[in-house]
Amino acid sequence: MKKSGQIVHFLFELMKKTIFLLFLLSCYNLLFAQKHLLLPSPKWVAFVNATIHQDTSQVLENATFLIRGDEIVAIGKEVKIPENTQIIDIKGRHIYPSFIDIYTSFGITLPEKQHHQGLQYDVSHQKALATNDALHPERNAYDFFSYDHKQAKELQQQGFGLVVSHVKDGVARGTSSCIALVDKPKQLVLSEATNDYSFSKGHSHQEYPRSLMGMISLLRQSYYDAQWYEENEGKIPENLAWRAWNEQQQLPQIFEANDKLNVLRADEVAQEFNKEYIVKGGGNEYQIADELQKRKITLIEPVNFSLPIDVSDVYEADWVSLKVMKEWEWAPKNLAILSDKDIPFVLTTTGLEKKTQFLPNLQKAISAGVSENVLLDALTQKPANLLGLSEKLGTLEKGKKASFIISEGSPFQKGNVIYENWVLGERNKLLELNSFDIRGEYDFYVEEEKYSLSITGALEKPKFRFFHDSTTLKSVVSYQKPWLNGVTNLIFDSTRIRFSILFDEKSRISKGKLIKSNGEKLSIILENKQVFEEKKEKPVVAKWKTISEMTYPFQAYGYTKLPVQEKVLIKNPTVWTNGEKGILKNTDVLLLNGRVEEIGQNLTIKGAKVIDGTGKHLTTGIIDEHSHIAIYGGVNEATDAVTAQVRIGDVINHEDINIYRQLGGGVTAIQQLHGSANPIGGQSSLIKLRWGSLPNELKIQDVDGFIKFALGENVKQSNWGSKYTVRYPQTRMGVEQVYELVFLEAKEYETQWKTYNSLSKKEKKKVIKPRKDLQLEAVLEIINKKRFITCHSYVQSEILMLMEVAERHGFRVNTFTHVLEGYKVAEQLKKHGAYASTFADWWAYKFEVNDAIPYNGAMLTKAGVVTAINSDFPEPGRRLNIEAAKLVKYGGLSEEEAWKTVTLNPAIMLHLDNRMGKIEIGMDADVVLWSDNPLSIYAQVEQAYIEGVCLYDIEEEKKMQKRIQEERNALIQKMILEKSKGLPTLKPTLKKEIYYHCEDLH
Amino acid sequence: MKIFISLVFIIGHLCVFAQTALVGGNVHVGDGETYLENGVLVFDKDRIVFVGTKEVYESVYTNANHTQIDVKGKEIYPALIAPNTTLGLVEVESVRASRDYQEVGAVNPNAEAITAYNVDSKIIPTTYANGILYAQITPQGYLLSGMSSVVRLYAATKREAVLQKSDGLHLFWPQRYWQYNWFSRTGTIAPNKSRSTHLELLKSLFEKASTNADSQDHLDLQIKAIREVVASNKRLYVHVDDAKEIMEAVLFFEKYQINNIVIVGGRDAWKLTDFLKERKISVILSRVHDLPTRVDESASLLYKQPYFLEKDSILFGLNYMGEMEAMGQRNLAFTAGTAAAYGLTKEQALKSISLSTAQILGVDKEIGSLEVGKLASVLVVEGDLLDMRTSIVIKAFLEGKEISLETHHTQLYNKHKKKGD
Repeated sequence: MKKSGQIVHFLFELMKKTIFLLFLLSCYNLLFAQKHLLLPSPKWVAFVNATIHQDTSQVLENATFLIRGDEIVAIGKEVKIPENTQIIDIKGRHIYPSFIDIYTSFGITLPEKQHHQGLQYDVSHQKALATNDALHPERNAYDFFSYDHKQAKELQQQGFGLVVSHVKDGVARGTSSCIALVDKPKQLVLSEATNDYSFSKGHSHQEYPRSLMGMISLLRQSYYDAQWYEENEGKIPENLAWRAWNEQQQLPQIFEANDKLNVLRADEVAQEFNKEYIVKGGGNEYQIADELQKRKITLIEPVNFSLPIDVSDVYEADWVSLKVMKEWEWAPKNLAILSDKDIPFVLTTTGLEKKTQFLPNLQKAISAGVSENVLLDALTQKPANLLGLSEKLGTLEKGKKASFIISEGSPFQKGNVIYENWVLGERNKLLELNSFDIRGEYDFYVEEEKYSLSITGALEKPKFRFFHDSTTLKSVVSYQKPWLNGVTNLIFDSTRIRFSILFDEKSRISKGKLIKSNGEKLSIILENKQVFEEKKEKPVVAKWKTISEMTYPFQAYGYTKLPVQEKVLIKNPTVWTNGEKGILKNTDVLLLNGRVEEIGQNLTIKGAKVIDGTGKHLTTGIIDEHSHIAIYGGVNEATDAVTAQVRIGDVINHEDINIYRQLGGGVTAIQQLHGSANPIGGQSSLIKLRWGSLPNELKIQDVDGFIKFALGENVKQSNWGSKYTVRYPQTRMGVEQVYELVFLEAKEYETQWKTYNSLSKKEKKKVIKPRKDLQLEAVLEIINKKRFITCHSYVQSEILMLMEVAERHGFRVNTFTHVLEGYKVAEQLKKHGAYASTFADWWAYKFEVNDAIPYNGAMLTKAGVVTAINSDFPEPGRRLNIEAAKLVKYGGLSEEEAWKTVTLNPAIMLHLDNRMGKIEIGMDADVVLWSDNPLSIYAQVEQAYIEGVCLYDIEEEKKMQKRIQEERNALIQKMILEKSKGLPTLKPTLKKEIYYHCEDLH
Repeated sequence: MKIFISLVFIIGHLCVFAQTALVGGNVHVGDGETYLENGVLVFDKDRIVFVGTKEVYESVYTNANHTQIDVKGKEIYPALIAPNTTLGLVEVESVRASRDYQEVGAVNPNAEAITAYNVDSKIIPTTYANGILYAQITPQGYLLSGMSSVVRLYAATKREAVLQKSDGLHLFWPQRYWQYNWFSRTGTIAPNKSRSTHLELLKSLFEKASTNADSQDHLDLQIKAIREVVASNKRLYVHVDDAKEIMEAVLFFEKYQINNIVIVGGRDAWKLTDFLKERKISVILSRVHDLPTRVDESASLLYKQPYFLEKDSILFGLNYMGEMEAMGQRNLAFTAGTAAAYGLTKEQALKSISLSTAQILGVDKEIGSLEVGKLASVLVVEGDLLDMRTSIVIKAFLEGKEISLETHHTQLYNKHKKKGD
C-alpha cells in the first residue's frame, strides 16, 4: 500500500516537473522573443560582509547574500559570486527579512458615503446583492486600490515590504489584496488575500442596524443566508453577494474587533459558525489574556500606545480615571503579556497617527518586556504563514523572494536606521548606505578671522551650530551634497552673510565663497578639526515596570484577586427568609458550596468564616427585574418595529462600574433588558453581578429566554422629534396590528419548516429549503412558550390589548413592566396570569404616565398579582431596598410583602424562584447582610454574597478606595516625570460614563 | 358695612382663630438640635406662640381655651422647603405645551418664574402630602435663566402663593465641558465651545449693570434686572458643580461686590470647604440620590457630602434637582434621610430641608423651624419623616390653616381600590 503510494507520488512529481519544464520552455520562448523589448535579464546582486538574520533563530555573520532578480540565490559564508554581479559591501550592516503588515488600508480609497434625505429603511441599491448596505462580500480591495508612493515610502521606512490592503467599510467587507510595496505590475501578490468582517456598519446609511447587538445579529443572519444560498443554488435567483460570501470562506478570515471584548464577541460568532478568525484587537487584550489563552485566537495587534496625560492641574487630573491612567501605563506591556501567555499575534501599523511611530513604539514594547525575536516573528514569519505565503516570504532562504531590509543593526533598537528596503528584488534606497559623515568639529576662516562650526545630530539629519569663541551665532545651514550652503550673522557684519562651500569629502579642508550684506565677496576655508564620534545608544532593555496592579476588571474597584467561594457562617442576624418561616430573629445561616446549607440556632462548622450578624439583617440578594446596566454599544436596536433577533446577551459589559455600585446596594442578579423603542425589542440577558468576571461568566446558566416588548409613546415614536413620523406604527391601534401580523408570520414560518421537514430526502432536493430567520424564530419561541415577554407598558387600554393578542395566539404575557396603570386592570392581570414589575413612585415624565400612582404596587399585590419594584436606571438600582419601602408608605403593604417585591417576586417573574429569592436550604447562597432593617433608609449593605462568594464588603471597599488613591497618586507622579522629560502629553479630558435607560435610542 | 366687618372680625376671632394646641407629639424644631419628647405646639392664627414640653405648657397655660389636638406618639415637624425646583412650571415633562421653565436664549435675568407658576399643578399636592409646604420656584436655562420666587404651595393664585417675590437671580456658570445632544444620555461630552463667548458676555453684562443707572437705556430690561441684584441684597444663585469653576465663579462676582452668592449644585463643594467658609458662601447641594460624577469616586459620595459640609460648618440645604425634578420632588425628605444614614444626625438632616434652606433663601424669619413668632406651618407625622417606612403625614398646617392632603393620586387610589383595601 505504502509502496504504491510512493509510486503514485513519484509519478505525480514527475508529471509536475514535466509540466513545469514545458511551462518554462514556453516562457523562455516568449522571453527570448521579447527580451530586448520588455524585460531586462534578472540582475545579480551580492551583498558581502553582511550579518544576515534569516529568521528569528539563524544569524550568519560576515556572510554573503546573493540574489538574482526577485529571488534569493544563495546565503552563506562561502558563496560563489557569478561574473557580472553587482557587489555591495555592507560591512557591519544587517539584513533582515522585510516586514509584513496584514491589516492596512494602503492605497485604498473608500467608496463614497451615500447621502440620503431622511430615513433610509431599505437597502439603497436595486441589484442582486445583499439586502443591507452594511454587507459587501462581493467587494475586492484591488478595485479600490491605487499605488500611493508617499504611504509606500513611509511603510518602507518602518521596514515593511508587503502589506494587505483592506476596504474597511461595513460588517461584511469582501476580500482584501496583498500588495508588495513596489510600483510595478508585480505589486499584486494576492488579489484575494483575506475575507473581512467587523461590527461596524461603516458608510451604510440604512437604519438597521444601529446598535452593536444589531451588528452581531446582522452578521449571524448573513451566515445563515449564505448557507441557505449555497444549499439552494440553482433553485433561487443568482446573487453575487452570497456567492462571493461562500467562495471566500476558503480564505483567511479577518475580523476587525478593535477592543478586547469585541474580540470575545467575534469569537462567539466564529464558534457558532465553526470559523477561525484572525482578530484585529484594540491593544488592550492583555486585560483578558487568561481568557484569550484558552480560546486560541490569533490576534492582529496595534502599537498605538497613548501618550501620558498632563496631570499637573490638580483639579483637572480628577477628570482622568484610574482606568485611563492604568491603560497608559500597561499598554506597552500588551505584547509582552500576550507573548508570555503564548497567544499568537502579528503586528499592524493601523491606528498609529503617524507611521513613523511604529518602530519607536516597538522599542517601548521591548522596554516593557517583549523580546525582539517575538516581534520579528510577528512581523515576518507569522503573517507570511497566515497569508499562505510562507513558501516565498517571511524568512530569508534560498529560493525565497528577495524582500529584505538592510539596517544598521536590529531595527528594533534605537538609532539603528534602515538604509535600504528591497521589495521583490526592487531596491528602495532610504538612506545612503555609505554616505559620507559630514559630522564633526570645524574651523571656519573668513579671511583671518576664525569661527567654529559644529555639526552633530543624526547622520541623515545633521544639526549645525556656528559660534565665535563661545557665542552662538544665528544661522541656517543645509548640506546638499556636495554643497554646504548657509546664511548667518558673523561678527563683522551685523546683517546677514551668505556662503557656499564645495565640500571636499576626501580632504580635511574645503574652500568656498562668502558674500557680505553689502555685496562684498570674500573667500573662506573650512577645516575639519575632529571627526564625529557617535555615542553608542544603550540597547533597549526591559525597564518599564508597572506600578499599578492588574485588577479584574481593569479599573477602579477591580479586584487584584478574584474572591472565591467560601464556607460562611453568619451568626445571629434577623433572617428574612421570604418563605413560610417569615422573618426569623437571632438565627444562624450557613453557606456552603454556593448554597444555603443550614438555617437554625447555634450552628457550628469547622473551618467556616464566621460573621457576627448580631443586630443585623440577612436577606436574599435583590433581583432587579428591569435593568439596563452593563450593556455595551446601545440598549435599543431602535431601527425597526420588530427586532426580536437582537440579543442583549451578546453585548454584556462586565466593566460597568454600576455592577459594583449595585452590589453595594444589595443587588445580586438582574435582567438586562433591551430598550423600549419598538413593539418587539431584543432578547434579554439574565446575569448575576459577579464583579470581576467576564461577560459570559456573568450569565446565569439554564434559564428561560425572555424578550422585551413595548407599548405606547416610545414605540409610536411620540417623543422622537418631527423627523420620526413615518415608521409604522404611529398609534396604539397600529401597535396591535404589528403584533397580530408578526405572530401570524411566525406561525406561517413554523408551518413552512414543518412541511419541509416532513419531506423525504429526495423530495427535499426538489424544493427550496425554507430560509432560517432569526427574527421569526424568536417570535415563534414566544408562541411555543419557550420565550417569555417582559412588556414595557403604561395605560390600561394597551395592557388589556396585549393580553388579548396573547390569548388569541395561545400564550400568556409573562410580565408587564412599568405597568403604571396596572392598578386599573389588576383583576384582569391576575386572571391572565401576568406579573407586574413597576416603579415605586415615578410619574408625570410623559403624557401616558399622568395617572401613574404610587399606590400601584400595593394595589396590585393586594389583588394577588405577583409584583416587583425595578430600577430601569442605574441610580435607583443601587437603593432598590428603599424604593420597595415606599410600598409600606403608599398603600400599606406589610414590610415582608414589600421586601418580596425586590427579591422573591422578581425571581418568580424570571422563573428563577427554584434557586433564588428565598433563604431556604438548597437555595443559591446569594445573600446580603444589612446594618439595619433593609427597608429602612438608614440601612447599609455590609456584605453581599453571590453563591457563597463575598463580592462586596464595606470594609474591603474602604481599602479599595485607599488603594485607588495611592495608585492614582503614583501614576500621576509617573506621568509628571514623563512630562518633565519633555515628552509629549495629552490634555486631560472629561469623559462621561454612558448609562442606559430604556428610552435611549443609541 | 362697618358693622358687618366688625362682626366678621369678632366671630373670626372667637371661632376660627381660636389658638390651636398640638398636644403630646414629639417636636422636631428644625434647628438641627432641638427635639422635645411629649411636647406641645400652640399657634394663634398664623403664628406660633408656644413650643415646649407638655409639662411647661401646662404650667404656662393653666386656664387656656385652646383647640387641643391630641397628637400623642406622633412626630411634629416644621414644614419643609424645596429650593431650586420647577414645581408648578411643568406638568408633563415630555409635553412641550406644559413646560414653562426655560425661556429662549442665554440672557433672561428679567424672566420671572412666578409669572408662569401654576398653583393648581397636579404635581403640587403630592409634595405637600409629603411635608413640603414651601418651594423656591426656579427658572432653568444655560446662562442667566431668571428670577425665582419663594411660594407657599397651597394657594388660590400666584399672588396668594408668594412668600418672597423675586428672591434671587439664577445664573448657570459656563462649564468647561458641555454635554452635546443632551436629550440622549449617551450624547458626547465635549469642550464647551461657547464658554469664552459666554464669559465675555457675563463680564459685559455685569460691568454694564454696575455702572451708573442714569446713563443706561431704561428699555434694557435685562440690565435692569441684573442691576437689581448688584444694587440690592438679592441673592445670586450660581449653578455650578466643578471645583475649579466654583472658585472661578465666586472670584468673578467678588469683582462686582456681589456678596450674596449661593452655590447651587456644588458637586465638588466638599473639596473647597475652606474656600467657601472663608467667604461665608452657602450651598444648595446637588441631589443626594444621585451617582457620583466620576467612576473612581465612592458610590455613596453624594450621600456623604452633606456630612462633609456640616463637619466644616458650611451652611447648606438639600434640593431635588435633576431628572423628574418636579414629579419626584416629594422624595426630598428621603434624601435627607440618606444624608442621616451617612453621617448627619437626624435633626441635622431635617435642618438641611427646613431651617438651613430658609436661611439660604432669606426667609428664615418667617419659616423653616418651629419657633415662637414664626409662621405656623407644621406637620404631624405618623413616624420618622425621613424614612419612608413610617413617613406618613397625617396633618399639615399651612400658616395656621389645616390643608387637605388629597392628591390626584389619592383620588385615583380611592376610585380604583377595592373595598377593604
